[in-house]
Amino acid sequence: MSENILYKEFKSTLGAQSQNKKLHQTLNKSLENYHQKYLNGINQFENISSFKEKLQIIRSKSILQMEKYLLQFEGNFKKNGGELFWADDANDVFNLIQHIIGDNIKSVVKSKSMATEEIDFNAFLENQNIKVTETDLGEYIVQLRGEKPSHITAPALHLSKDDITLLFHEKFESSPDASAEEITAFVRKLLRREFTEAELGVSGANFLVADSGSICITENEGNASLTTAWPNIHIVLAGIEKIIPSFTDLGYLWPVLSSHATGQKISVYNHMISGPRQEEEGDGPEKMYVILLNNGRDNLLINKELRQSLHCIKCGACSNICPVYKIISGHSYNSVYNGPIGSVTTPHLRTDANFFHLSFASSLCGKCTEICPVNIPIDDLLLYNRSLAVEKEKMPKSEIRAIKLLSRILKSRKRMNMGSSSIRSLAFKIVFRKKWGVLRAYPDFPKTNFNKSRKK
Amino acid sequence: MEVDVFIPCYIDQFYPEKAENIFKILTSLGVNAHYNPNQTCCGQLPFNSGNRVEAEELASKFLKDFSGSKIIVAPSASCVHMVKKHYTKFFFNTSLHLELKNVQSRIYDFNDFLINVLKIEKWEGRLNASVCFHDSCSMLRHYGLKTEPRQLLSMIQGIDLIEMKDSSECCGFGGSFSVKFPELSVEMGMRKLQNAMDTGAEYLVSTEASCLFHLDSIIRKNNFNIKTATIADLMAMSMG
Ligand code: SF4
Repeated sequence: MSENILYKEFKSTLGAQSQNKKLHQTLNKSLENYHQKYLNGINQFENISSFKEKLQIIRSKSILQMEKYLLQFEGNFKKNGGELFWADDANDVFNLIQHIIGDNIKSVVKSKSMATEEIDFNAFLENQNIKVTETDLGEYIVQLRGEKPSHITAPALHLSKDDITLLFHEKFESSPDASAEEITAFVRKLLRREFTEAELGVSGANFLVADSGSICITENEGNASLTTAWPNIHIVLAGIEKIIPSFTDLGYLWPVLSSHATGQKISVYNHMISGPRQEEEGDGPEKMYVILLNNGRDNLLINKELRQSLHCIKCGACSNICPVYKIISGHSYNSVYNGPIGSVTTPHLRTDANFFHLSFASSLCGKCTEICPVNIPIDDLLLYNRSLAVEKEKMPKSEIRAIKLLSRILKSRKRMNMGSSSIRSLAFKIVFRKKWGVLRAYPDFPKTNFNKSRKK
Repeated sequence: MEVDVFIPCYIDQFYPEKAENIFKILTSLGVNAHYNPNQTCCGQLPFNSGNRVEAEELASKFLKDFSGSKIIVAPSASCVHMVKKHYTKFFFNTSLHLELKNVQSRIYDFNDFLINVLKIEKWEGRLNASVCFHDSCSMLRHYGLKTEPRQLLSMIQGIDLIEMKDSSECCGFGGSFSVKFPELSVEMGMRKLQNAMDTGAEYLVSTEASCLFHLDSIIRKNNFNIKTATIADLMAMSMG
């Protein structure tokens, strides 16, 4: 396979981001803060590891019997008066949306949804002259900047408070030294108007509960509340992996999700929405639709190893503690799902391009696996992806061949003992000139290697 | 006690004196340490790079080179982890299943071996030095030991351990990672070294020679004022 452009781009982005001190400062500040809160948040569990095991069981049950639970969800949600559609890819979703909204809609409010990011949902609506407003503060900020979120739970993690103040000053002429509270208040006011004008609210879901037919959303700003209740139509776009068997599982999932995402014991607002407004009810949309999205998830589902990645509850903790993420930040991955788990799933979700290099961009330090609340063996799956990449020649042939050659030497004691120290040293310098030598000193080669000197 | 020593390929190639130190220490503790000269590599390098065919070939060679019944000691938690965990992927339920189980049950990291098998409680040796300690990812998170290395360090008289910030953060080596993504690898190393130098310690100590290989090359490139050593190196030095 020819040298992959994405890999090339990735490497040059890394070069730049490794030196981006401003970004590092911003990330360090937020992530150190996160870590303190996280330690505090998981304190609420007497025994976090047994809790994690329970979650792992819930999630593997959900994924192994996904079909059964999704059908159960569909039945119950429809019984509650909702409508449900299945979408295989972005085009399916767009056709369904067209079918649902016709030409009647001019303005849409959205609460956080990674599934919509996956399919460039906003661009689709905007192309039809429909105004789309993100109502989560972080999402609103990245929307204003014309960016994608850089983190699955904290979309604007890459921006400092000063970056944000400046952004609002430029866009809305707000005070150049407005406080975080002032900006929040300002956005709230702006958004209030959007909420009242919007004819359609679009949300994601943290979980889909099979036995009650409800979608669950957890949030801190109250914007999901308004998005899902105010406009006359509510559309939920959710990945099929969001399914869980029973609403009793939420007692485990919710506190663990929030403690790993933000360090809270539980998020401020936790919604279970089971359908549109019922006759005797005063609030809520007249119509509610759920669109279940596949979009490549079946590639993960059919593989016994990779299936575990679907257990993910999208808490973002693995990114937060990842030493690579802390240096390069989310945008460098060039993928909606980034950080350690994104490096596992993206090569399989994005089959239109080659993303296998992401699975190599890890030192395999194991911090992700250690923190993951549902015990996904993330570093193992990265290793597994690497083996697939070699098998399917998804990495440059030269890199694969170099390891083969090295292994040939390592297989033979005779070859390992060959050559004087000056020859070894020269060989090392030639082979690793760019890759080792620019930022590091070359190793000193001893006169003889251990094996040879021991034999003497 | 009789043991077989495995000297990881990079120690064999770059650090013969670190290998000697292992034998020196074991011998001084009354252990009869054998070395099979046919041994080469556990296969971790190709395995971590995705080259599983090559890794499996090296793994079967390893099983052969370390057949027998002696305890196997290796100065690298990451190689031992490779054997104990990843070899299962190659040989579980194959004709080598019993050999696999056998080797997996006999192999120990050097530091683990001293504390938990030999159960040494003191070390006759003095070295006046201030040190900070880097928990290698493989020792801490893969192999699963945090206190044992510190216990061992504290047995060397004269050692002053100053804990560093983020001691469990990765040093950035990561095998082929350090070569595929040098800028990233070095930035991680720089952070580690900054925290180490902030302690003012004379030595940055770890159990894993591979972390030190990478860190040392950054130290030399930048003329940083700190030295690196494994615990075994310090123990050997303390013997005078
Ligand atoms: S892989 Fe685990 S830690 Fe990472 S986002 Fe998913 S649930 Fe959270």
